[in-house]
Amino acid sequence: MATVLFLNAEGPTWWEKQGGAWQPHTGEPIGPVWVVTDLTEETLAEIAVPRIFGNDRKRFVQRQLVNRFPESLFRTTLDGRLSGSVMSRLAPPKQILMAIEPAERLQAALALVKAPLAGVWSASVLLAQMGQDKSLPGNLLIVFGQATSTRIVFLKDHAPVLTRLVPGSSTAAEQAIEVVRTLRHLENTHIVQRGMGRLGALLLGTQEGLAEVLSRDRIDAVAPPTHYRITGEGGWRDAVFDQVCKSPPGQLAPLPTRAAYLTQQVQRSARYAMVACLVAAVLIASESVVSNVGDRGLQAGLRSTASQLAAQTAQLEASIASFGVAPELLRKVLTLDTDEIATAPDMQQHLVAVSRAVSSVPGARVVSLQWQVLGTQTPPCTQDAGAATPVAPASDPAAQPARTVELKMAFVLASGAGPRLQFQQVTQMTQQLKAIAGITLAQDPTRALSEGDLASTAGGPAETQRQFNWCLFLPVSTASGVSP
Amino acid sequence: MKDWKPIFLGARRSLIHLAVVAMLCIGIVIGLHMLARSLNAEVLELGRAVQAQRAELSQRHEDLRNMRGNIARFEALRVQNLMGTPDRPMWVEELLASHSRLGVTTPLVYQLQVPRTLATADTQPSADATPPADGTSEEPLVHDLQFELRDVHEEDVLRLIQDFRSHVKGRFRVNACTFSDPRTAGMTAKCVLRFVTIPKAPASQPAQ
Repeated sequence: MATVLFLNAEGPTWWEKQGGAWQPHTGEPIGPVWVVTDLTEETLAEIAVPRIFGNDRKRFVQRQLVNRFPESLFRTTLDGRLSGSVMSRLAPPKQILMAIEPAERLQAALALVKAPLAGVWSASVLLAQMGQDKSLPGNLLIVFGQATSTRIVFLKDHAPVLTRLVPGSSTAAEQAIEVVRTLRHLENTHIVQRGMGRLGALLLGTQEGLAEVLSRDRIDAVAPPTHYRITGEGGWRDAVFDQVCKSPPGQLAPLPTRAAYLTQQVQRSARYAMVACLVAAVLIASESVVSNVGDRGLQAGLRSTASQLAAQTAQLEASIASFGVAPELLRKVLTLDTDEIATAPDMQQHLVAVSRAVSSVPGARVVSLQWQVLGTQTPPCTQDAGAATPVAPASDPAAQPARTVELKMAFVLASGAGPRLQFQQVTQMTQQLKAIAGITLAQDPTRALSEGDLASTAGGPAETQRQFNWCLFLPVSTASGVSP
Repeated sequence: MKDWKPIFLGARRSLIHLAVVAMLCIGIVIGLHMLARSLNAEVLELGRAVQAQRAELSQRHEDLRNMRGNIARFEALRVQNLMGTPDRPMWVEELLASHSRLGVTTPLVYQLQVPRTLATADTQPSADATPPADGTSEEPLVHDLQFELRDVHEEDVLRLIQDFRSHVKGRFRVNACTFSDPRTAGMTAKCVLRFVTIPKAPASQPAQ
């Protein structure tokens, strides 16, 4: 609950906000106290500042503040609205100083305050901050009327340069006289140029009819800023109290006076920071926690699966071990036997086929017959079997060429047969050989008889018998049928 | 800043609490994050291990199926001395025995060549072959048994091979046969029988 200590010429009064309205309060306040002064000791001063920046400027202004108000600790600098060039914004050539001097009345009132002190603000500063609103003119008179006094603050180019507290002023005419007197003072001190035109005035809580009286003296009342709302019976005083509870700039009390309040603020900020840390930690860690929980479940499932698989594997290995032979050896032995022995070509079958071919031609006789299983790298039916052209081994075993069976034969036909009959018999024999399944005929004498030289020799009957050569080959199936 | 010192001293307990809470929060967040990463890595590793176990189990199933389907044939091959040290003199003696059993009158000339590895059997001439060192390799070996008969007919040769096959302890195939020099009594036959063995016998017990 906000508590305000209002200190004016009538003495200190306590105010507390209850149900949205400021009510007089008696007794010790519970929470921190905001102090608002409306005293005649409030003083404004404007100083010129050279073009210096940063800490140099701060130290210069602080020295000027101490020099101007050496007897009061309740002093501060006021920040006006920045305008003009960039240099003027970085290092304004003018600086407003504010103090309550002498401060004995204020210190006496604060000595009675036991609650933590949030700060001390003067009514002049609070009113000047109201008058610095963008909707208001830069040169502005602010008239703040109360029951027993009237505060007049003048802003030049949005910077407060003069403040007055006038006692009495219970009628509009009296208040107007004080306002006009203030204007004359400003003109006499050349703060305002005489005859410069009409001046704006913000009238807060003043008597009825003041605006009409002032208009005769070329002072026009301006509407207050829209965001300042007057709801209670206290009028503009309540607005000032609401504003001070936001701890605006322009606080006057030195730091040691506010130590208890600031300690509370630091403690409260630390508590908020702790909560923020915890919330942030929970939010950030939640992802890891969810991941951990999920992974734990997954891990348990995988471990269970792994143990089941290990048990099944062990069971299978025991079954395999009961056979007394390693699976790799069995595979190797069977593959070897299948590829090299079991699927080996049947020579007898081929000899029978050759025999059938020979017997189909009357008088034909075998001179020589060679049956051979060739290696995969030996091409069949070459002229010189010993000089076989090796084939480069394939990188993929499945792509290796098939093993082949080579069959070379030499026959002689019955003596006395003419070329035409020989051709017919050789053709017939070729047809018989072609009946062997899968065969490829690489050398066939039929072609030589039909297209080549036809000749005879002048020797005896044995020499006149011509020898006919065949060479054929067929692939050997090596499908092992054993799983790898 | 000097003026603020008593204020911070007054609020030091809250500030210390804040520092402790902040440190704890940072520690918890970092710890949980590291734990999550480590656990995730473990789960990935475990997943890979389970995958490998599944593949191994599948392989074992296949092995068992092979074993059940082929153990009888394997045992038959074991009895036929496909594995282990071959009894090469016995092969020759069995060939001579078959020759005498068939009553072929012409003499049988034979040559049992030096064993060669299966990979080099078709490319390396037998004259260049050297006996493989004992026990240095489990690579299959081939042993070419060459014999020659004069004045025989093809049927005689086939019967000789058939008789030899039914008596010899070993697995072989007819690799080549040449019939030449025809005469009234028959032809000259030269054949090569190729035996196959796996040198090292398995260090396992016989099947039940």
